Amino acid sequence: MTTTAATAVTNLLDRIRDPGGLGTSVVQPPSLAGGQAFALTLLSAAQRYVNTLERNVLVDVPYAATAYKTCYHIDSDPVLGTGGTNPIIKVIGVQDGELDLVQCPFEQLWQSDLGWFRATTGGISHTWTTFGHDVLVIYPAMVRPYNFNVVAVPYIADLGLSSSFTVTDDLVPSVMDLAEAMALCKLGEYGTANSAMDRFANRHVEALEANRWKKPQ
Amino acid sequence: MKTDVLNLVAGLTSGLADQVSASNFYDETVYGLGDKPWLTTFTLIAATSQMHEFDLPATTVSLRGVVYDTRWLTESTLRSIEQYQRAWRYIGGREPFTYVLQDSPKLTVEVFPNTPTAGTAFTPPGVFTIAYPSRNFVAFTTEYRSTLPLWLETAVAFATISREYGRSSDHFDPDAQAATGKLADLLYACVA
Repeated sequence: MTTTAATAVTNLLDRIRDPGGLGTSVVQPPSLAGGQAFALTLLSAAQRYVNTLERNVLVDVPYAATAYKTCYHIDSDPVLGTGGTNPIIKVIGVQDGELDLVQCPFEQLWQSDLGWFRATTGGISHTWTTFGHDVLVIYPAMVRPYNFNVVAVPYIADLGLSSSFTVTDDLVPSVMDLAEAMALCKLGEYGTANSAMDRFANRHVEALEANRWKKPQ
Repeated sequence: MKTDVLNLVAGLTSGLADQVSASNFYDETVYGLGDKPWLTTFTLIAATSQMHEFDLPATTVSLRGVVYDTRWLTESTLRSIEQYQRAWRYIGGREPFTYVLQDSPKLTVEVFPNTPTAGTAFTPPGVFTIAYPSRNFVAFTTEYRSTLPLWLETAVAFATISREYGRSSDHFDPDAQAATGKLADLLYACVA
């Protein structure tokens, strides 16, 4: 994690042939500082999207579950939601201490138990799922308040000029490609923006292929 | 927030986007997200005695499921219930076990059979703890939001811009429409 945002901003402005930042700037009058600030905004967004795609940096958030409650709104949650103490983008897992709860599809949950919504246990919850993106389900509900750990893709805060990327260096090229595509759309360079998008998509296909487990020969 | 997305739209289009139409396209884009399982929620709905139908919240885009008291209801078609009993809307006495979604004039859920009793009273939005008010309905839906999760804002901004460049105007640009639309789809795919 050695790539600094300041270097990335300079590189991004060079790549889109706007080293002075005037075309990228969204403030009036246009300025280098304005261009750098907007480039940082794009890089921050790109880093979040790439990290969500690759699940590169995850967080382990202590989460207090409420007794008799199976469903939790995520985005309005005071811990996990927007403006919360540990805002997240996507739930990847739920743990009870060192035990992983089993993930199952939402449909499978209600197909196997029509009464899942108010099912409770005095022992342990064993299953988790999400209804779409924004409702977390821990099943069955505990009959007492209980602490779980939610493993999730974090909402990474905006970059500052002096900060470094949160994602590892191998993903910085993807972040740059995505931010480049966004910035080129801003400049009206749609042909080259398409190239950047294709490069990003191809890089992701390669990453998926590289991550796929292959049977030993 | 919607204003943040519109500010981003204005910045990315260098002020070309008309603020009124961009606002409308934002709404259109977010309603379109209702088909994707992102802006999901669940809502407690009070049941009265012999209740046959209820309206979904005004922000609802699509219904994904209904619970009555403790039971997940199965969805039926109007024709299948009519074949069972033409006067099905008058039948009560047991707890509802199925529902039909009517989409005219607004999203309305009709349950079968009618509720036997009124649900335990609660103050909206209600709580989902041990004090969960029994014998009421819970609707699982996708919804329209003026305040999006922050991670969706950039994608929605590009989708809004795509619509803006695609409308008849002095800045109509099919290349811009295609490129920004493609970028929005790429960002959606990243968080899918």
